[in-house]
Amino acid sequence: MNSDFPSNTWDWTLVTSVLAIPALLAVIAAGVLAGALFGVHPLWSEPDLNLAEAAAMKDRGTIQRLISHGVDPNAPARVRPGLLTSEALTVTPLEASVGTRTASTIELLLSRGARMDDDARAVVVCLAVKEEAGEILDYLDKHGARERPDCEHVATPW
Amino acid sequence: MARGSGRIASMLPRPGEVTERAWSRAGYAYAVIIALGLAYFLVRMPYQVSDDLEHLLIFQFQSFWDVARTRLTNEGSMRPVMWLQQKVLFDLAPGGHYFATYKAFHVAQLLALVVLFVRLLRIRTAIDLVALPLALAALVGIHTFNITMREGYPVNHFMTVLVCCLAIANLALARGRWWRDVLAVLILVYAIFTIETGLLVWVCMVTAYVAGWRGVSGKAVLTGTAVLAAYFLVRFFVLDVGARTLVSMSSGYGFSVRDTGTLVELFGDAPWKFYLYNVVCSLLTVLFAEPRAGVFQLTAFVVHGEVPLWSVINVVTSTIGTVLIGIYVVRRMRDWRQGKLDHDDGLLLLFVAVLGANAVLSYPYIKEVVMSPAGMFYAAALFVALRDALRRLSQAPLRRAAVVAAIPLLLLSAGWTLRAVTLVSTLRATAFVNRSDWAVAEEHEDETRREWRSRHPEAERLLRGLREEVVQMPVPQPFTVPRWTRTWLDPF
Repeated sequence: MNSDFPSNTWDWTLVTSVLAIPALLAVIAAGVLAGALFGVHPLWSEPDLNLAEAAAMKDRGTIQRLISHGVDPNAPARVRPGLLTSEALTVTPLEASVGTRTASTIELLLSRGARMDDDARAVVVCLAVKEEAGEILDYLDKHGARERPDCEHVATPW
Repeated sequence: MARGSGRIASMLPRPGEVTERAWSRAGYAYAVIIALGLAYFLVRMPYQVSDDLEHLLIFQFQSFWDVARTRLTNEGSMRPVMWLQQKVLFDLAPGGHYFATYKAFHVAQLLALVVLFVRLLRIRTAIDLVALPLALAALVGIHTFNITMREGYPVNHFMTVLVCCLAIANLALARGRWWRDVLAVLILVYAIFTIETGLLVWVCMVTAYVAGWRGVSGKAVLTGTAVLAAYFLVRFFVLDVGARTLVSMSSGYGFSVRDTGTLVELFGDAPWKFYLYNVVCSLLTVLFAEPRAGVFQLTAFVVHGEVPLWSVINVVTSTIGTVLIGIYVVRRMRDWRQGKLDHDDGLLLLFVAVLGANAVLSYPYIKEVVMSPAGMFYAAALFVALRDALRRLSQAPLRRAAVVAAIPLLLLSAGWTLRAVTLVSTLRATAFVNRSDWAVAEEHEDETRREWRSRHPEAERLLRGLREEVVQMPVPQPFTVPRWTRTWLDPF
């Protein structure tokens, strides 16, 4: 050890211990790299999402991937608890996308083959009203504008 | 001669004693582990669509010479090397693996950055090694560094400038050789024609010479100065590129970001007032982490009565670091008045010179990443100040002093560690956003550049291939991030 390193006094140990905190970064880095060698990625893992869950999470990347792999953009799927509501729900991707309160996911789904007939539209509109998703309502008004349904008589999934 | 320890403190080309070599190697090993750890996240993060995709599509339909001819200048900028470098990498990408090629270059830059940074600090003792982790945490954790990791255009030219600044400083610190002079001038040319902040490489060259580092000779410094003069001549008089102004870009002012129209309304009659504001804010953001990109963020949080912890951590850690650097400055003033400058003083001088010049270059608008060179030398200055404090403490350990010193050091140490972790969390968050944006890259191009499909017969194929590559990449989902982290980690 170099001569300018002081003898092992508690005060010096205190200071060096405090300064060792950033060394945790190297420990984490080494752990991450070691894990990667064995195919384990605790800090970069992605849960498997179905199309409805991806729509609920505004995850357009997963939507694109699943649809290009042949997943039906109109098929209802189970959305795990905590994403849309505290309970699990079975909804279509279009219905799930209302949870994002933005129009970009609906727009993507429609451009990739999702269909919105009058019944489906009524459900989406009423969900958007319930969620106060003004952007979605504006989008729907601009694209295929028609009278808004009477939501008193439309059953919505949540 | 170095103070206190009696060791020679400048112009040593490499560690001599066995123990010195051991500490030095440990320092490099530590830094490389950190860099590889960051590289792990970097290679998994898709680059952003804006700039990145358009550049790739341009390289597809333009030859090297077309790029050289048409991209020599843009509105208010002259960055031919940036374009040509990106084009060369595009053409070299094996089997169309463009992202992998650009990422490999990005990782190489990151590794070069940390190795050159550690080399500049000259780790020779146990004390040096004790101070190093904090300096590296500051290097990667400072907010000005974030975008050098987060974005690729598809080469991050801000990172290029950082590496060039460090390369010049390291060349200057070595023994003088003719080839080092040639290399230094070439690096300068490379940097200034890459992006405007490359001018800071010249500042490093001159400052190192003033500090007494003679690895780059006076002749080379003069040649570099002539290159700089030629650059200005070409830019302002031959090509009439000019410089960016008030109307170039939206920028932060007061408590919010203002668009160019508002800036003209506010400062149209006296733009110099806004430029002065930007220069001052650029200085303050490096020293105190407030304001952020011209916006007084913490102040706004306080006014609104909701202050996130990460904002306080940013300001407190930067301020303590700056105070520590200030203590070092005060302590060394007597020697400086007598003309005594050692290696660490040279590092401090580099920080001061780059900070000032960097702030001046930021006059038209504020982007945090533009201040990344100053942020990098801030980390070096922090190391110098910390090493000095530890040396003094080690020579006369006083229990009370150690306890008193431990409190700010704890805040500094834990705070900068958290800020370094923030970098990783933003890479994770950015990965999700970028992948999501790539899903609609085709629609994005249709909206912004309607002619893009007609520029090359394979344009659609390239875009769709890139899109498919990106959407196949796994990225962390935001909903899996624990909510409590929002309090601690800076989302910006």
